[in-house]
Amino acid sequence: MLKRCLIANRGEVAVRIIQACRELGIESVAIYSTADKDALYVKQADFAFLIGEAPPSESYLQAERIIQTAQAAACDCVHPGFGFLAENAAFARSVLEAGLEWVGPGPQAIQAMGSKTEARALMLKAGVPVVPGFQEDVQQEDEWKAAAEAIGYPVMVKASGGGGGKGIRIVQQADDLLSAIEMAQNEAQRAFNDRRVFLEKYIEQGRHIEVQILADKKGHVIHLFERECSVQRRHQKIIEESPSISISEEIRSAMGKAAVDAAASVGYVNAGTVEFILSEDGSFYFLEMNTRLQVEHPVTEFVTGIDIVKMQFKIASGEPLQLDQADVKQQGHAIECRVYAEDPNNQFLPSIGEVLFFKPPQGAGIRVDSGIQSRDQITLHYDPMIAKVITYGQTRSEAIERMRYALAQSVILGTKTNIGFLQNLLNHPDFIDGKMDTRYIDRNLEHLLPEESALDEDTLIGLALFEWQLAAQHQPVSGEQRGDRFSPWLSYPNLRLGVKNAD
Amino acid sequence: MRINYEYAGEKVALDVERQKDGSFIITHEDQVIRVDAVDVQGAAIQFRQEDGRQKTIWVAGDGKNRFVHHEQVNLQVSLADTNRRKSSLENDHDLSAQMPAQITNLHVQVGDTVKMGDKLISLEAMKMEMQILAPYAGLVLHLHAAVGDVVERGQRLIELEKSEPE
Repeated sequence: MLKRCLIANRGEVAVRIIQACRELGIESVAIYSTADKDALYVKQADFAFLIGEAPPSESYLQAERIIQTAQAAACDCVHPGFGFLAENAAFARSVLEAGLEWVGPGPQAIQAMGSKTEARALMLKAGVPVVPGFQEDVQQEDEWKAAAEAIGYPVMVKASGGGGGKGIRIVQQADDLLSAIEMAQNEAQRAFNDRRVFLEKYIEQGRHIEVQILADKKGHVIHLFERECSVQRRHQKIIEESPSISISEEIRSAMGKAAVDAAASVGYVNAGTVEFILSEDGSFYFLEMNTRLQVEHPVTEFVTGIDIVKMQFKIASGEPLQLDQADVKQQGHAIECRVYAEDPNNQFLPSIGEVLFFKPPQGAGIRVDSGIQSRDQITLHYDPMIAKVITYGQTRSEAIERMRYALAQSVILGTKTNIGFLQNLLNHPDFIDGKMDTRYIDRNLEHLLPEESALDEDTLIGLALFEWQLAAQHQPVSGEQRGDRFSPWLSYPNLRLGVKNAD
Repeated sequence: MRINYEYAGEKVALDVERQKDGSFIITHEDQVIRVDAVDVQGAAIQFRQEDGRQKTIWVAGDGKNRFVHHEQVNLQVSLADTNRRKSSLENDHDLSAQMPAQITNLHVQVGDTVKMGDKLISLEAMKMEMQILAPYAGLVLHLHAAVGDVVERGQRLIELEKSEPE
C-alpha cells in the first residue's frame, strides 16, 4: 500500500480523501493557498504546505510547484480530487515521471477521453452509441459557423477539458454562436487551464445518467451502477441519486455494459464515470467520460457499500479489484443535494462572505461531505459549494423524507444558501414523480424559487432573545471570553451568542 | 428594550422585557409572546412556552445583520438605521458590480461612445465570467476600475452619459 499522499486539491474533496487515507494508514499532505490557511482540510492533514496565492492559477493549478512539494515532503503518490488538475494529462504524466504514483487513470486515458474527437472515434469502435453531430476545436469563426449549421441548432458548446457545468453554453441561433464560444472558452481557461471547446447536437428534454466504473491495473473493469443527475440548473448538477427511476432493467444493464466497454476501450485504470444522455424515446448516447472521482460519488457509495476513494488508492497501489460484477449490488436509494452559498432570489449569484455559524445535519442515513467550518470565508476564488448532503433510505421516498429532515437541520448562518430552493425541489410533485429532465429547472424556475419567509412567531422569539442577550453581553467580559464567541455558557446573565463584536 | 429591524422593506419593531421569574415577554404589534425558559449553546437559542412547546432557533449576527434559521425558515433581517439614506449606489444598478468579483477586461476607454448592449466590462468570480453591458447608448465619462481590481457588490464601475435619442 502507498504510504504518503499529496492531495492536489482543497475543500470538501480534500477532507474526503484525508478520511480514506487515514482508514488505509496513508499519511496525508495538504497544499493550501493563502486564502485557505485556516481551512478544515489543512487542519486535518498530517502535513500541510503553503503553495501560493488565492487565485487557483497561482496555487492549485501550479503543477510544477505541487510536484516539487510532493517530492520535498517524501510523498509516494498524488491524489488530484476533482476540478483543478484532476483531468490534466500533462500533470498526471509529470507526476508519474517524477516517480510518484498517480491516484487516477493513466495520462493516455485522460488524454484520449479529453480529446472529444478521439473519444468519439473510440466509442464508435467499441460499439458505444454517441451523440449525433460534433465539431472539435477549430480556429476560424467561419468554421465554427459552418459546423454549427451542419449539426443543426440548438447546439451545445462544451469545454473539452472539464466538467462541473463550467464552460457550457446552449446556442439556439447562429447570431449567438461566436459570443457563446468566446465566453465558454474564457470560462474553461479559468476553470481548467484549457480553453478548448467543442460543439455537439443539443438533445432537448434529455436525462443525464452516468455510470460509475472501477478498473484495476490488470484490466479488470466493473461498474457500480448508475446515478441520475437530471436535476440541473444551467448544466450544474444540483440533486443526484441512485438508482435512476427513469430507466428499465434492460437499459440499466445495457448502460452498465456500454460504460465498461467504453472504459476498456481506452485501457482505463482507476475510478471513472461514463456520462450518457437518455433521450425521451429511451435511446441513450455517450456524452463523455470523466476521468476522475466525481462530486456525486457518495450516492454510489451508499447504494453499493463500496468506498470509491479507498478503491482508488488500492488500485493505484496495484491491488486487484477482488470484486466481480456479480458481487456489486445496488441496494436501497441514495440522494445527494449540493448546498451552495448563493442567492436563488438574486440570479443564484454566489453569496460571498463569512459563514458565521455552520452545523451540518446528523442522524441515521445522513452523510455530509463538507470542507467548511463556522467562521470560514466564502471567497470569490473558489467554487461556492458549502456541503453535499447525502441521505439513504430503503426506498426513494424514504431517502427524500430523510433529505427533507436533513436540510431542515442544516444550519448555515451568515451567507445566503440554496437550501430553500432545494426544499422546494424536494417537495415538488414533478421531482417526487421523477419527471425532471436536465432543463426542467431552467424552464420552471419561477415556481421553484423560495418565497421570502414571513417573520413568524418563532423567528421573533429567536431575534428578541438574541438581542436581549447581546445587550447583556455588552457588559464587560474578560478577554478570554470575548475571544471565543461560540463557547457554551450555562446561566444568565452571561449568555454568549454567535455574534461578531461590533468593535 | 425595543429593537427596530428592517425586513423585506418593512419596519419591524420588537419589545422584549424580562420578568422577575426570569421569563420574557415579547411584543410585536398586537402579538404578545411569553417565553418561559431559555438556554443557549453557541448560536442555538432554545425556548419553552407555557404550553410546554419547546423549540430551538438558530441566530447569528454580523454588524447590523441578523441571520435566523429554523426548519424551513432561513432569513436575514437588519437593524434599522434611522439615518439611513438611500445610497446612490443603488441607483443605476446596471453599471455596478452585481457581486464581489475581479475585473478581467475593460472593453471601453473614457471618451468612447457606446451603443446599447455593447460590452463595457468583463468580470470574473468563482470561475464564472460576467459582463456589464451598456444599458443605453452613451458616452463613457469615467472608469472607476482597472483590470485586476477586486470590486465589491454594488460598487460603481463606470459612468455613462446617456446620449440624446435621435
